[in-house]
Amino acid sequence: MAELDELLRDSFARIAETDAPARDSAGVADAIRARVASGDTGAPAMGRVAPGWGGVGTAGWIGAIGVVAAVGVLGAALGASGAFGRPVLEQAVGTDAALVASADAHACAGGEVVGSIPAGTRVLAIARSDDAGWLGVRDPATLLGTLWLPASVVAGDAGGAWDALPLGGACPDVYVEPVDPVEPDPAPTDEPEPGPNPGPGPGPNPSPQPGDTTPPAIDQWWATPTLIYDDQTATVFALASDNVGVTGVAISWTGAKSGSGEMTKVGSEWRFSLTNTPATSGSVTFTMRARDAAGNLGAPRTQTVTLSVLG
Amino acid sequence: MAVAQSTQVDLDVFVATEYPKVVAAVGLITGNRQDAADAVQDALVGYLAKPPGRPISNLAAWITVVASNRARDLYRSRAAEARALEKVGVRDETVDAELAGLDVDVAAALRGLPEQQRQVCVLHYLLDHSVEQVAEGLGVSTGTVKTQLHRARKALAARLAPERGEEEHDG
Repeated sequence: MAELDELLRDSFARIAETDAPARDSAGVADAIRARVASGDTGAPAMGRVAPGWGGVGTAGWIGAIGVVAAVGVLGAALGASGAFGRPVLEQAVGTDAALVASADAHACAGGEVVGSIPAGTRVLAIARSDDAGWLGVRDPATLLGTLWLPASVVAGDAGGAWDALPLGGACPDVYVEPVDPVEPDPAPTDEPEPGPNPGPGPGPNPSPQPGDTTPPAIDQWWATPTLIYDDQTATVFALASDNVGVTGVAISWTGAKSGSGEMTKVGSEWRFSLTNTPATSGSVTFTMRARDAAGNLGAPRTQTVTLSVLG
Repeated sequence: MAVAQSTQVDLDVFVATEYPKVVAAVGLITGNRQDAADAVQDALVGYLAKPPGRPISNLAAWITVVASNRARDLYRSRAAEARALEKVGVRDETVDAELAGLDVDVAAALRGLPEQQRQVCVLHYLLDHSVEQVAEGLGVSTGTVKTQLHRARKALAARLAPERGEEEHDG
């Protein structure tokens, strides 16, 4: 086996030499320091690579392309139909910024929550709402759509002078489709006139349906990552369905850590995050259970995440 | 966000001395060498922005493991595409394009190992960490490291023996 040891050492060394990036160590250190100074916490939303480095990874390229495209091209290219089918800006004037806190991302100012962006993420602010309470930023994941965040969580590199940004973000009028009443009396009733949604945001939770005995189901569930070390966070995801509507997903966890809570709905997913702080080793088994408005409980689903301690 | 002066000095030293090898180590562990530099830099940013609650005695090992998890997440985010490519027999040949024959075999054999064995192997053979240092870095017992290393060597020997035209015996 000594021969194998030598072979592995030599081969690994050659591979490392092949992979070794250019030795601009000062540039890398400066770039890392600049990210930390800007509030970046190493969150996985966007990749950034130190300037002058060979072997630039995909995420780095996407980040670079995003800044260039958003400033020079995307504003015009998106034209009249943006991602999500929301109002689109005729011209994008970008202001580099960072999130000072994690925030839900809305499709329009105060509208439907379509995702979340972690604290420290670098964004390009491209619009502001009339009341200055919301900022439109280029979606850091796709670099195509515009997401709306509370202005209070966005810190501009130049001190947050948003006045130069174009106005936008108004949510389109939403009309509520009338629901056929489920009543024993078949007598015809006047069809209600559709009316404008009185306020932004997602619709109310589904109302309980008489006689609904069909339990909701968690159709898919997963966690990422499934192995976390000190102060790292694992997020458990679930996709749930029901004949009327899922009103919530309860989650509990046992093992190296224990507790219970509610999963948060983000877009079509239900999510729950657990951070390995204080760091501990062992496995944690999450149990998720969906429920509907009638009180039906779905079958429990379990997902295991391994915790480990370093250092 | 202020960065402590002592940490800045550590960062400069780390980047100048350990960074290239750590990037290579993450690439070997994950089999995704293109994302390794991004992942290592993310791990370093995370270390500086939100240091772990306890002192890290083996920063290279810590960054290697954290970054390999980060790179794995990046990889998983594109997993559907990768699986689709695998199904039709397409493999990203550009990854190994720069390597010579034996090194291609070694990298491929390594990819066939479970992740923990890959981590232990790379920390031991590439970063030259002793079994005790690997155990300290991973927060596991030396016995666990020895077991993982033993299994990794046995599997690698079996996978590499045909290419090398000789028989490896476990020992």
